[in-house]
Amino acid sequence: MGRLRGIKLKSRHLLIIFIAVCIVLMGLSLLSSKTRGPLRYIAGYTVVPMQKGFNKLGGWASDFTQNFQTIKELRTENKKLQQQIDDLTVENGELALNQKELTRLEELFKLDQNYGDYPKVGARVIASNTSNWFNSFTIDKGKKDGIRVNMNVIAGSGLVGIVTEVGPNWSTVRSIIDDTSYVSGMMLTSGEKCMVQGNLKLAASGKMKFEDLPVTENEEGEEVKIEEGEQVVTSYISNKFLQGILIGYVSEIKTDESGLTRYGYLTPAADFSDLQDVLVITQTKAETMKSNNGKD
Amino acid sequence: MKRLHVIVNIILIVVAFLLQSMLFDNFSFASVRPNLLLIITVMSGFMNGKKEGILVGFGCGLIWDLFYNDLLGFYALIFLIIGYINGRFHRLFFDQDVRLPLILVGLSDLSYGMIVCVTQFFLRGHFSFWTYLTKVMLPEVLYTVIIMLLVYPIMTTLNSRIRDFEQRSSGKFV
Repeated sequence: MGRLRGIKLKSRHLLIIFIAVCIVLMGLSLLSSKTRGPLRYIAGYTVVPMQKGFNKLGGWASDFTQNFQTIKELRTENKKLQQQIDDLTVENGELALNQKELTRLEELFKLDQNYGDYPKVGARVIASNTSNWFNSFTIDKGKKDGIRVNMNVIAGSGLVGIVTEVGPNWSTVRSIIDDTSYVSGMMLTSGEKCMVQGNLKLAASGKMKFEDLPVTENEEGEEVKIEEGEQVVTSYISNKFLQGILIGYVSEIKTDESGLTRYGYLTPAADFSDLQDVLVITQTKAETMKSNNGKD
Repeated sequence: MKRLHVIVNIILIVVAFLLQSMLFDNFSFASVRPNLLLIITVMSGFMNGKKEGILVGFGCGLIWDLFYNDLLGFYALIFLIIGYINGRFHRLFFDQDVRLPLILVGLSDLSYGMIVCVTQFFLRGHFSFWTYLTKVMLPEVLYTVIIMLLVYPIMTTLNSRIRDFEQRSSGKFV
């Protein structure tokens, strides 16, 4: 090492050269997202298959350790589940009542375009962000499967994130609990808009923050109350997220010092601690808007 | 760097990345992952000098950037500087002494955390420093140092084996 075509390179020079390389790379990637193209292709065919393999291995290992769960644990879990069944039966009754109201409200907010109608493709999570600071993950579908940047990703009933990068056979998804994530949300019943943001501090406790919710008054001059458990969905003004996808449930709400806006916390509907399979909605907001405009 | 050395380093970087990005939580502790790529960088610099620290650090950072960072070259820069600084301690490298490398890994991980904290969080106006320190940085440092204890003998043995092999094979041609 150190001999480059017969010239002895000092470590200080090597340092300067590589720092320059990094700065140039940063500059280029700021200017154009295409910089990563070639490297991305190489990664797609070398590292990603290995990630898939490792992931299978890890899944097998975790199954193996789970088999050693003691009977005691299973019993307590069984008890808990029984309790849950009881709770759910009660809840189910309530929900049946709410269903009627919901149908009406959906019409009211033109949420008839439920996300059951959006074309979706299933994907498997194969790796998660390597750092403890950010919350993103890699899925095993890419350009070949029709995935493109800005597609929304859901799991179960709730919004998970958005595709930020696409490789030939993989894509990166930034989850909504990531510290850099902002989603324009809306209270389902009142239609008031707010900003839902991920927060590293809150992510540990499985919560998210929402801000800029206006304090609105009804005709009698009373403040419109938002109840805990209120559903927050993606709003129609978002230019990246499709309208009406469930983000989570309000768990706490406060009025800020100015008295003009409210903020609070919500529990995301998707379970981020155990993400394995997700659904990618293969229609972006931009396309939806375009096709809607075409109709008019 | 001899060819064998290059291949071994590339394999190390890829394996570290795969382990670190593995989805299942068998490996993480209190939802914090150890920084394996940092360990590889620090060890390379410390065992084999500044130049290797720079090259391996660059590799580690680049693979990270490629998958999880919008700004290509950012982590590469941080890691190569960490590799270089650890390379400055190469003179003090002695197989049997694990204390210094542990301190080096700890300090490197802490400074890496600080840099990420300042550049990626403070600059966006997120100032929960205490939470970041106690929930992310310190657990990561602790866990990384513990993993380092396990990895250190493996890395030093591997390194001396490669050196022996390279010396023997180069000796044949003299």
